[in-house]
Amino acid sequence: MQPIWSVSRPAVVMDCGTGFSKIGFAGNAEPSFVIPTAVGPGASSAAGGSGGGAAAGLGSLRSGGGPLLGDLDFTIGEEALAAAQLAAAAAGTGGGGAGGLVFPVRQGVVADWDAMERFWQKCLFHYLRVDPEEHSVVVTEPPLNPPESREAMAEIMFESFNVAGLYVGVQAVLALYAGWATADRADREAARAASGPAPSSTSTSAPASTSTSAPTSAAHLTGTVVDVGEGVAHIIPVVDGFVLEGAIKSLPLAGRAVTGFVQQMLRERGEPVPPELSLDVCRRIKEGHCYVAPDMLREFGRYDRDPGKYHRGLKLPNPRTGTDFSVELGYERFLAPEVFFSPGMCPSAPPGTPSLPRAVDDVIQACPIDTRRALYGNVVLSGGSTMFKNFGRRLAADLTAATSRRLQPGATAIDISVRSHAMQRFAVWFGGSLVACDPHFGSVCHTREQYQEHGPSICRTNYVYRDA
Amino acid sequence: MAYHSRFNDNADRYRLCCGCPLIPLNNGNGASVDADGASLDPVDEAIELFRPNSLFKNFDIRGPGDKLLVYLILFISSCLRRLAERKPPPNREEARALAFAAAHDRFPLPGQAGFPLGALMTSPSSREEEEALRSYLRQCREETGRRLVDRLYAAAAGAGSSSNGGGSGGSSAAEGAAAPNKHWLAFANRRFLDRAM
Repeated sequence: MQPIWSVSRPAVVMDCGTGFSKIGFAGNAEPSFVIPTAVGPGASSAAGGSGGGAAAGLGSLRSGGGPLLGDLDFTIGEEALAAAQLAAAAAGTGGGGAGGLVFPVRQGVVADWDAMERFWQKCLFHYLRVDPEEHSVVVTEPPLNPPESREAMAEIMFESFNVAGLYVGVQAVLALYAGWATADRADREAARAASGPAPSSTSTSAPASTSTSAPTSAAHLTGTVVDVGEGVAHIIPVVDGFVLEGAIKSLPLAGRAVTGFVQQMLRERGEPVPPELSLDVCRRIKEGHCYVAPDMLREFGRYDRDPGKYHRGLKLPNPRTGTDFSVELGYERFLAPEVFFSPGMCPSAPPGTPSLPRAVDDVIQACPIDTRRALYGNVVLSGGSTMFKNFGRRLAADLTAATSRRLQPGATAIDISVRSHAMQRFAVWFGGSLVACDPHFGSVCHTREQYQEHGPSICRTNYVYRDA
Repeated sequence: MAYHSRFNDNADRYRLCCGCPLIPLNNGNGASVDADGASLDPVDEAIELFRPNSLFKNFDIRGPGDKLLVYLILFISSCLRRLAERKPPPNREEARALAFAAAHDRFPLPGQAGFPLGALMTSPSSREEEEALRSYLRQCREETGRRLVDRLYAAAAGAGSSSNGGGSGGSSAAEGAAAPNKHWLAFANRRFLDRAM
């Protein structure tokens, strides 16, 4: 049987989240494109004529589309955001385009299948430039995704795009694959020595060869995945590749809440940030200058004692007026990521929201008692909002404090390990890439022939690798 | 979570007036010293914990020390608000005068109308308790105002940082005419526990 994956025909991996979509080819360490998950009006239907030309490029399929071709005239990603701004600016004068900006994914779940199909269409044909008939596709799904959603994905993929194969991966399990593959060489050696399979000399830069050793034991597929994205944070316990759905917890504390906090602090201090750039500036501050402090009170003290070291000034250009404006950064550098650990500070979180370490603790306590030590021992971080400096360390410290408070005298201390690794930002995408490179991928991927024979219901189950 | 007072557990060492412990303030004569070598003083504690605690929406009172802490935090907030209202920002001398005026304003005692802590502190049972509490609170308020002004204007005289808007350079000594530290003033608009003094 022809292999699903080969170096000349790699699988396509698409991880579409609430904020950003990561798309690329299996076998790579990083996604080829990271674009906002947004579908917007076409370049020509926005701000009729002159202004639209600027936003062309990778934009609309047809130029000069009117109401007849409105359906085919749309943009995604950055172009969509730009085109929507143009359309909003020319609201009175330009004609109505193919609708405004649509975000097909909300809280991690696909809400608008029509828009999602268009999004995928642009991804495959314009960004990746592949012929889907020759490639398999790996898409990801959020936790607690209904099986009907998977069937809808299968229908779109096989009917509209006629892909060669489809695999729907659970984001949490893919993140665990990623955590395992990039673990310390020493850890892996120790685990391999304990479980006894044949050693292989690999390096993390060649995922195709590491995956031969990784999926042969299911022990690494036990862990707690802390997936903090743009819209929502999920804590998902996985035991032996099986997601314990009853124990999953979601928190409204995520990237958006952190940016909102930075914005509020800057506004209170009266920093001269022009309002239309406010969100963008705050996001840049969050990504470039924020970090997690071990203790809020001591950090205030450090700032007082040595202001020159901690307070920073930023000079940013204002594209509209052409002049620069300068912003000073103060306490929000460490207070903004603190919302994860002290949600009482966050105005948008409903009262009673547990802090992240507390939520992880609750999740693990809701799991069967014999799995708990393993779950504490393998906490894997994934998602862009876990990239703050010292995030993993602070989470581990708080978790250790919470568990040691409960220990009976004489009991063995619980070994907590929060895995912070190089691929964290795109952990789910990287896991998908590894899955597709595995030699056993052909046996778990659903092929076109199977779909034509049995229908979309085959995509309800997607197996994870087991021991041969 | 929010930070609580250090005096909650050992408050029985001090005389309690209407639920408020009368802890002697540190005038440099040496009170009890903690691990950092800094003296444990409710006024210093309130200034330290003002910034983290004003970020929280809820604060549970765990003991008598917390009651005094909340009272002083509300007072610090009202001082900052007075300073922030004045445009242009006042210099050190004016700020000191403002803080002194705020401290010696007529303030309501527990049980009287307008007391910000409501029912947290019981009304005084005897005339002498009332007098003791009033003089203690007045002393606390004055000390808090004085030390707060020192904190607000200390940054200019200290490490010569770039954090103060305008203001003279790092060489300005105790009589610096610099503007108050704007990172502190940012907290002026926050209402702690939705109450104001």
